[in-house]
Amino acid sequence: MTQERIIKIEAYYRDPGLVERIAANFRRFWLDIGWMHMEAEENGTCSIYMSIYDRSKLGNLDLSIITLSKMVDIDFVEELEGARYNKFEIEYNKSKKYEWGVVSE
Amino acid sequence: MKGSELLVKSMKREGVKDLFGIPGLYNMPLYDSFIEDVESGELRHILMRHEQAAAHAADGYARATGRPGVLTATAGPGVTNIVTGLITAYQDSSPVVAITGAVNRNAMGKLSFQESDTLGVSFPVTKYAVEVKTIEEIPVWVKNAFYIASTGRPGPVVVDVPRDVQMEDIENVNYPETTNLHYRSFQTVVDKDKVRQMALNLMKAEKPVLLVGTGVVWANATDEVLKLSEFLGCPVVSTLPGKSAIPADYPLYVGAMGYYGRAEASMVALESDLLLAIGARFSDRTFTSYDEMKDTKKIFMSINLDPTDFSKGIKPDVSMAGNARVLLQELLNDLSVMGRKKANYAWNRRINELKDYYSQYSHPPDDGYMRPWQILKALREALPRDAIMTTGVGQHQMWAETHWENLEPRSFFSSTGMGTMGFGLPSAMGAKVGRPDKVVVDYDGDGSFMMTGNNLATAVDEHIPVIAVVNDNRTLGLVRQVQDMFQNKRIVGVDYGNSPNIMKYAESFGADAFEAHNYSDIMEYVRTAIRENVPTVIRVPVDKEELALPTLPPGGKLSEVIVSDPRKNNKN
Ligand SMILES: Cc1ncc(C[n+]2csc(CCOP(=O)(O)OP(=O)(O)O)c2C)c(N)n1
Ligand SMILES: [Mg+2]
Repeated sequence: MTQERIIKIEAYYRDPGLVERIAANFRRFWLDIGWMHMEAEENGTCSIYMSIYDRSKLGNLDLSIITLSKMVDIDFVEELEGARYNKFEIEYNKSKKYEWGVVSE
Repeated sequence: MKGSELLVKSMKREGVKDLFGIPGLYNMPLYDSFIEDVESGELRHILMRHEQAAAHAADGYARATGRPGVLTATAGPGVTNIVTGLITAYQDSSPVVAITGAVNRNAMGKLSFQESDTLGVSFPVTKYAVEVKTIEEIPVWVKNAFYIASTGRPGPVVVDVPRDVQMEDIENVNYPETTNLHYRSFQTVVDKDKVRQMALNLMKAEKPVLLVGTGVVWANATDEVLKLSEFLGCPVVSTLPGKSAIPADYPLYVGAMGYYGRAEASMVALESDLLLAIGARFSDRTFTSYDEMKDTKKIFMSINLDPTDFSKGIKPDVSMAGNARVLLQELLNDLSVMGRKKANYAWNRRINELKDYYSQYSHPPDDGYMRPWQILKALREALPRDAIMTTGVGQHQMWAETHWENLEPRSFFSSTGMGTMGFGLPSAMGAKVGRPDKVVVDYDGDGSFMMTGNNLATAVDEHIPVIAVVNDNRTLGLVRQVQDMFQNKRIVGVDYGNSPNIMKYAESFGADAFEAHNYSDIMEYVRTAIRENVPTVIRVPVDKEELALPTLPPGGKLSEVIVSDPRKNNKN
């Protein structure tokens, strides 16, 4: 994954349409998303960190980022150099499973 | 006050006077709230026969007036029907606002009757789409929508309002003075060093050319472009939509370049040693091969509102982001202190040579059928200088590209980015509603015309006197031409039979219908249509074998241009 970028997006969160439009931006350029981390606050302030990479080798990374930067609700996009992703951890006690409409504990 | 009333009041505050649409369960509250405005004449509602046409009409209205065009559609099929119209406006940077009704909030996500995921289908085809979630949000989102649509690179915006939000009541209304958005229209940065660099390059160039695009139309920068061209004594070429910015009788205008553009315009662009693009992205329709352009080793300069265009296709050597008018004024000021540029006699001679050379191919004599260049010439003679022309998509559109002489800014509209057949008639209707003072002609193909021709009913009912000139070649001519020329004459799935009779079709709507047998018929019927001031269809038979030339082989370079009919031995 040499052709990878790690970016931070500062945006206004109104509803999940924000994530949809960000994902669509990269999909249209045939790029892939490695991982994503988003935090949205009650007032809409939202930061998204994500890795995008160019498996298709179409060379669209730069263009995809600058294009994203002019999308309504996006304040700016930052490309992070030397960024390292510390694997996300989550703790829980119990789970409920939903599988094709069937729920099991 | 009801939400739908608030919606109407908010729209009126944005200056809305005309609205194209079709009602249904979910935008009916809106309709109920504007009855009085329609009765008093404060608002005009134009009942279209298909929502796609409502979107094209709003688009044509916007292109003709410079103000956002507005439409409304109901949830579900109403919304999905506008998709083609929205993406057409999006690709051609036209400001359109769509007010759509949605199912009640508690019905969403439940496959309820006519539920469409309106945001889901709208995001990819618009500049923005928003769900109004509460009644309080109505005024600010209407304001925001008009602002987004009409600033920066203009484009379509969808405001989706659930029916129950429209039905709710509100006591205290706050109309916002300003927008509330995380959005910026692009900035205009005047960088004196770059202005100087551009000026010096222009002064030094021996074979400069200006390439003009839609950005010049929206920045109202026609005068500045002409001044710059005059000052430098340099030729102007345009993109297909950029045609709308430059009067065709401007002596230094060579024409629209590109895929089906004028060969001399493409050659001037290729042979130039400096190309300054103004409000034009280097689209794949204009520069069909980036390598071919780069190989010319010319200096590329660009003045463009959207700075992201500088990173597509060709990276300009010098670029300035911002409003074309403001930046051209800076450039003109800087140039004026440098004194006169010495005339490029050799370059001007070469341009005239190119014009003369290609002119023998582009004006073939009659051979039994009327020839499109002559049809367009007849139209030019019969129409006033400021007439507006719209087109469908196909050969006829390409003939309009090369041969229609629009003489005023904002008078030629075509679906150039999306190539949407069916754009012609409804966009002409929208243009006519926005500019009733202008004669508006839809120069159409039979295939394109039949896609939205049912809206003639609206033109008649609502008295929108547009003139449709239909090139009837009984075929999907442009596709047929590609099969004929580049697919070994394997012609399939393009030729029509005798249905419909376009005259009877037009008459059945109550439009005037004429059949032109020669060029003077065309002029006479156009003059009659203008005089009678009623919707009129003029059928013009065209040979299905006629080619739209110049053309390129699929994926071809501009230098591979084909200017004469390869099926014939003689030139034409
Ligand atoms: C909605 C749509 N469907 C299909 C096409 C593909 N297409 C491009 S030109 C063309 C032929 C158009 O025929 P007509 O309107 O009769 O124009 P002509 O080429 O005959 O002048 C077709 C089918 C398109 N551009 N738009
Ligand atoms: Mg046809």
